[in-house]
Amino acid sequence: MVNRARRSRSLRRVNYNTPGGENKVRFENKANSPARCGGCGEILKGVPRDVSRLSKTQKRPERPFGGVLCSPCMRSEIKTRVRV
Amino acid sequence: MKVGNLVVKIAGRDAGKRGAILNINGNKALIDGEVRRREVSLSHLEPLHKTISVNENASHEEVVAAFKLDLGLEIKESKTKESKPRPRRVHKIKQKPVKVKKAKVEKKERKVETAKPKAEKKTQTKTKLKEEASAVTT
Repeated sequence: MVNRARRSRSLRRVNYNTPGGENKVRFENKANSPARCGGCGEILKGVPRDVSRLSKTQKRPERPFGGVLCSPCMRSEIKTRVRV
Repeated sequence: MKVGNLVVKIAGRDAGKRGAILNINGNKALIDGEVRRREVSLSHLEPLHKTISVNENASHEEVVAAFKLDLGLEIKESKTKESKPRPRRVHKIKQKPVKVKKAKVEKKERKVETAKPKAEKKTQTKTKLKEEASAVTT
């Protein structure tokens, strides 16, 4: 029987073979989904999936709305704010 | 676009900041103001339809003064840090404490107190008692 805490499907199941010839299941955390633009929904460039061990400058682009909007959406946002 | 026109930068880390055009060379323009002074593509600029009185290729100080006069905007200058020498770890060398030899002091001769033997005390008390008893009888 699978451990009670591991029955959740939020963990990824990986099959592997032991050196003794047994087939076993290992439970791993699922990979993060890529960051998406808040305007158009496209995958953001310059934002890595695993940012846990990176410095702040490596986690997102260093411009206004960096890591939130893609660059075309950011430009249109600034234009609309300026023109009003 | 002309020299003195106010623009907003819409690309890069200076996006959303205002600047004035100081020179136009083909597709590129020299801008200065809230943005860093640099040559940028015209496609990265959004005109504001305002002008300030600056000459062509004016210095940064002139642009800052024009911003304050014409628009009432004070441009904050970013403080430049003076480069310091890189801190290096210095290994501490422990110095052994120098032992100071003390001058030899002659030991004082202790006075040997000759304790009186207890037996003598007892005999003294006994003799005293005998004398008292004899005095009483007389």
